[in-house]
Amino acid sequence: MKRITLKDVNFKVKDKEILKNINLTVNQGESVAILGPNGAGKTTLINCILKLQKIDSGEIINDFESLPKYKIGVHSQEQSFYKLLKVKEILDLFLFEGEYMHLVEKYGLENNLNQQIGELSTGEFKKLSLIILLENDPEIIFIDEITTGLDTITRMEVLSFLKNELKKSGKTMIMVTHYLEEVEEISEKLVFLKKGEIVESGLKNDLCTKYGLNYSENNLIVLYNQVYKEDMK
Amino acid sequence: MNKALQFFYLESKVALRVPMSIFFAMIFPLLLLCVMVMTTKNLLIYENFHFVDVYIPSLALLTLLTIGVTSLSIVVSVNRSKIWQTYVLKGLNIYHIIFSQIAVYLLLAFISTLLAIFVGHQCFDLILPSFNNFLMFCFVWLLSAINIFLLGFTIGCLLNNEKSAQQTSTIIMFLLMVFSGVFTNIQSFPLYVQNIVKYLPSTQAYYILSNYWLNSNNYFEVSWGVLIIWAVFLIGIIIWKLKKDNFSR
Repeated sequence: MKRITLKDVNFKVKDKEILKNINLTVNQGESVAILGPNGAGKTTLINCILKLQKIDSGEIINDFESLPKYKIGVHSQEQSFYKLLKVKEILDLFLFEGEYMHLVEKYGLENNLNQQIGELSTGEFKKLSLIILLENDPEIIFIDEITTGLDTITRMEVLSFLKNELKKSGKTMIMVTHYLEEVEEISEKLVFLKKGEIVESGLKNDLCTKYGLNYSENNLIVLYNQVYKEDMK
Repeated sequence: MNKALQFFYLESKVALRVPMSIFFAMIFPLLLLCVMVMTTKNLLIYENFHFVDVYIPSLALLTLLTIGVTSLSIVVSVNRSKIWQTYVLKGLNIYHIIFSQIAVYLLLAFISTLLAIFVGHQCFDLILPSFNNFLMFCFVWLLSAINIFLLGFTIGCLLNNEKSAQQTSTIIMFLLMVFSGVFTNIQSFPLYVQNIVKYLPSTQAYYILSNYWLNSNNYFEVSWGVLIIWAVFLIGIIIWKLKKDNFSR
């Protein structure tokens, strides 16, 4: 079984510690949500796993690294394409020609194929990103705030789509999010970061039990508040 | 289609969809040629060479400097952090992206220079060099273009935003123009300045291009080695910077 293992990972920018002694294991098929306030180091953690940023000490063993690039799906927070390219051109570049039409239709982007990327709305752009992310059937998916900026209906659509995809194929996923309903929908394992450190982690049910809560979406909010209670004061 | 070619094709489309880049790459040099030749009434410079004959190598270099140093460096600095990173994460090879980016701008500059030669020949009786000299002119043009474009690319790689790339590249472009010999005779500079500027790729490019276009031997000591050393040096910096940014992992 493939897994990602982080052992005592530290990452600094100048003298500021962004990640401190991170120890984490993500097993194949697991869906992990990384939570935390702004500046907790969530995006940096994903970037370090993807080797977009070099760690200062520790070790990251990523068994998925040997996969071809198209089998590793990444949706970064700052994902961007040339604004002057048309939707069809970008799809043809990253996907096998013609094979993406079912997703384009499913997402209602068939009328946008000849539109330039810069002319798409935020929701349409996110849908396009999702099609590119999922069409090549990646084994592992890294998602950084995929639903930020989306209206409620589009967000629900995106979440339900992601959920179905994950259920269908047992993909591994590491997701950064601020929305607890996304966690409720998609992830089983939670990692709470605070100022670069993991302050709590574990399966949703186990964590709720640990904090004396019954598992439910509302209790996830209570759980979140409990973990960050010092910051809530 | 091969990914590199597909990406090159898309890059070309992107470049052609920006009216300003087409204007400055294609139309502006032609306007400049017409204005300069008509203002000087295409006067006889020496032997049977008129202003237009002497001006073509200068225009070739000026086009390379504006497209290669200014435009390319800005495009690279804007795209590098977000768009390239996205493309690399989606499985594109960073060197295919670099090749496409440079090749598209090179093609624009080449078409622009050919257009200027065509218009010069049709409208102002530009004298074309012998076939061998024309081939050598094209070869030196390509070598110079690669050098100048690598310089623009390096500036774009080293600077992280559009504003600083624009400011830095404009200063460098003007310095290279001033010391290239296009506007001022190099001999009018103090000897120590002459000794420095002869190692600039743009200066060497201008004099070698002029020599082949006008079939003359200039007083200026030309050295192909300078162009080759610059190319190797700049490629080294680009590879180092891309590794530092974790692109080539």
